[in-house]
Amino acid sequence: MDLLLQTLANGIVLGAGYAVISVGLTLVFGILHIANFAHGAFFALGAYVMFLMISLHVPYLVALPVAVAVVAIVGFATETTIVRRSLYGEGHHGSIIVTFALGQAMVAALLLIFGPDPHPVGSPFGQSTLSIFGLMIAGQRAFIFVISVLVLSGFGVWLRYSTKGQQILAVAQNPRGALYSGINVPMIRSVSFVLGVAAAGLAGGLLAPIVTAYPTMGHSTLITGFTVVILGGMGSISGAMLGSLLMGLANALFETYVSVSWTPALGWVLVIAVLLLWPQGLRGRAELYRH
Amino acid sequence: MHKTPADASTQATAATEFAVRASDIHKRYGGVTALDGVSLTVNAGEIFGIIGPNGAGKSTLFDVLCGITKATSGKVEVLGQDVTRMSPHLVARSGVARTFQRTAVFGEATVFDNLLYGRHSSFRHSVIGRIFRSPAYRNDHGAFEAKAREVLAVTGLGEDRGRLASVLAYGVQRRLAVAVALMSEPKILFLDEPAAGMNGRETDDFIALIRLIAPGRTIVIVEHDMAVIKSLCGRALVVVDGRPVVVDAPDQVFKHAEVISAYLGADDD
Amino acid sequence: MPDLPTEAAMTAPPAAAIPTLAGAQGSRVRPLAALGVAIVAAVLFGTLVTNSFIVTIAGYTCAFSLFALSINIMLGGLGEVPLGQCVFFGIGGYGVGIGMIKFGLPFELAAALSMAVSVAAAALIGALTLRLTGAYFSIVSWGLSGVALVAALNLTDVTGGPLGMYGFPPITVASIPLANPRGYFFVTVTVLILAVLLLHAVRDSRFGAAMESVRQNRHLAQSVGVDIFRQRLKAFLLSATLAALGGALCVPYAQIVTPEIFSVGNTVDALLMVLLGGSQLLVGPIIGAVIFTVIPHYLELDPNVRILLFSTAIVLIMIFAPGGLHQISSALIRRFKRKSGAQDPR
Repeated sequence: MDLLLQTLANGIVLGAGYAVISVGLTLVFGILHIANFAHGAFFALGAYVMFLMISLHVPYLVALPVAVAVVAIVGFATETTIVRRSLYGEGHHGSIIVTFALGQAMVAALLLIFGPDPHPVGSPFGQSTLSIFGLMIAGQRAFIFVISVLVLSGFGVWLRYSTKGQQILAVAQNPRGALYSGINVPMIRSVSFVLGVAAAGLAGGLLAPIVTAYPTMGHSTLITGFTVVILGGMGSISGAMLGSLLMGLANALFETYVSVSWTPALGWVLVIAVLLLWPQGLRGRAELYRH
Repeated sequence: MHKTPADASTQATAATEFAVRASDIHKRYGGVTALDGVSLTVNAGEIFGIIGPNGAGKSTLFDVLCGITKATSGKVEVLGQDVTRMSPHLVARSGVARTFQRTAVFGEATVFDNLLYGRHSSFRHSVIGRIFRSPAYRNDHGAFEAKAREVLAVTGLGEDRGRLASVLAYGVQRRLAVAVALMSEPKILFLDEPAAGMNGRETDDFIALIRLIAPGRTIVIVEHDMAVIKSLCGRALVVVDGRPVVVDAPDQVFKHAEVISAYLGADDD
Repeated sequence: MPDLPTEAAMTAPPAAAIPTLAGAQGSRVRPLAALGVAIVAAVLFGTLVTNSFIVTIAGYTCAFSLFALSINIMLGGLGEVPLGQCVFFGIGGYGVGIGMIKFGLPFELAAALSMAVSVAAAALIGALTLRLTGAYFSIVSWGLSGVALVAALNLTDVTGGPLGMYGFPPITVASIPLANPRGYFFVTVTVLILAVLLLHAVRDSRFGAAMESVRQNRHLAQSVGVDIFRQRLKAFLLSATLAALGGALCVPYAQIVTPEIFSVGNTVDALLMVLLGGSQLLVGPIIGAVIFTVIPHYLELDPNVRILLFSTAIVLIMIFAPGGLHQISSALIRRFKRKSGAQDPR
């Protein structure tokens, strides 16, 4: 029983981590229908920036926002030079190929610069463990949970109540209509892309102390992110959070009770299963086949 | 035989066969209700219009009638067959053709190839037959050539045969879209905002084209352009907020109070 | 009223009355002449070139081109990005590995069996995933290659695990030893030419036309009666067969099959070849394959450098010349030859 509770607790915390990743993806993929296959690479980038700064003795809590900013800048540069030039939307395979290649290039660059071995990333919460109701929760994981909840709720509020946020939602619903209402659609797309990518970078910085930084760390993140976004229903942030929770639980349970070495495949099996059985997700619309 | 709007009302009472019938169609997307109990009957041989303000659900209704979108509940019958759950391409093969508002043609193909694509689902020959020019192949292509000539003549595209669809002028592309639809010899033609973006002259030409091909066919048109509806349609259905409001001859429809208020402020012409 | 053209004004249909359905624009080389040239060039190359390293590389290029061609069936043919196409490539490789090493089968039989398995897998996968389009299809495609990779790593009894399968007996095709560079080259180039002929026939057929119409305008194709799902499935099966054949024919060169065959690097390579040559040209992937197999082998690139360079090249191509070399050359040709009709500006 204890093992089950512990596993569930792990799952919930894992889910929090996934939530940060997937909200970024939801914004870009679910809302704007841009397939960003480089999302995992930006995640890794965030982790490595953290690694660099911590080796320069920058405190963890200071390094985190800086890492997010750096990733955002790289994302912005990417978006203006590359993504924007390959056709947006309408299921065009341009952005798929480009972001896929971009992601591969970034990971290869990280491999060449840092080598394939994992680099540990230190964090003030790294050594501590919290005990809640007799369950052990690693300090870093608790931190991730707290940050996730804060960032996600803040983001949700911003999206709904701020002008920019509402514009993003408008573009998501009806790009043409938004354009005719005077919304600067390309700018909104940029903003969304940058936000999505920055979220990936944040997730990288948060998770690095746990999983250590290694170049292909983004791969499973990407899979999980897409699974969650689809599971939650495209374009639904609350759906993405619910989906993250479920994914976290599923992963934790699978790892504990089934097998560790097959766990990487679990994510992919779930993506496939979700896409086939449940295309509208938990909260979304069955519009998949249009894209 | 040339159909004027006046003929349509006698047509409606005389016809015993309907071409298209929708019964209590509901369509929901997640939390949004696009269609809320729409029923309509289109009689064989009439030109039927569907109008309504933006976002009223007429495009959704249209998609449901053509079989591209599946209704959440309700029934759609076309030419006597229940097509509610039928796959879109099978609906097409049972005698229905449609044009699209955006991306109306096969952009990277020539006019001639566009017509070929419109026809090839009725080809019977196989790959082997193609390589060795079997009788089946020759039949198919003979029939295709004859039909293509006829369609090109009717739509006035004969000289543009070898031109790339994407370089055609907008109005010409729309005519090509109709030509492609005609290649499968449909009994029912669905036209999705065919006059959108056309200037006055192009619209007049288009109206003339539709009048020319209307005999022997049933045509359903979704449109914003009221001139088109008034000139072509015998009856029109107004859809507002997913609900049907009134079905009548266009002149009567425009006098309807709810229709007027729904359109207040909207600039239609 | 639209002006109705008189009969005389209408241009007479072309004498041969075979509509050319190829999606490629620009000059259309007469197929028989091209075939003749290709055969002659291949024979000359195979008999005259003395550097056996080059001949072997050429053979490998032909084999890998099959994989690139298979990717282009999906990309240029259907407009989908099959990020996980290496699944079928890997099935081809492992089919040969398992067939020859574990069961002692001759190469031809092992290759044929791996193609059959590939088709079966594609039928299953296709039935499940081909209703998806765009990014969804690409994600699932990529995912499946990930699953295959993990499976190959873990199912050590069957696949030899991380170390892979090696120790092949001498591989022959119709008694031609593939260890001999010329033998390898002649076999692979023959298969490649046959494959191109097949694809050419398909492209001009009803099936090819259906595929092209689906690619250009899915919804319109559907509304003229094309069964989209069926056409996509047929294309997918065809591409899987070709990919497996390519994978099988790459084994004699590498002499080892490891789980890396399922890695995304192969897809990156093949994608680049397709994009460089131009996805709308039937032999585009082959042109790209020649360029990008030959260069790295002279440069002896570290695999990660290779991925970095190739991925960057893909990005650059997509930004500046999405149609690849074919687009560039067609544009140049059009500038010299003014053709009516296709030239009118909008």
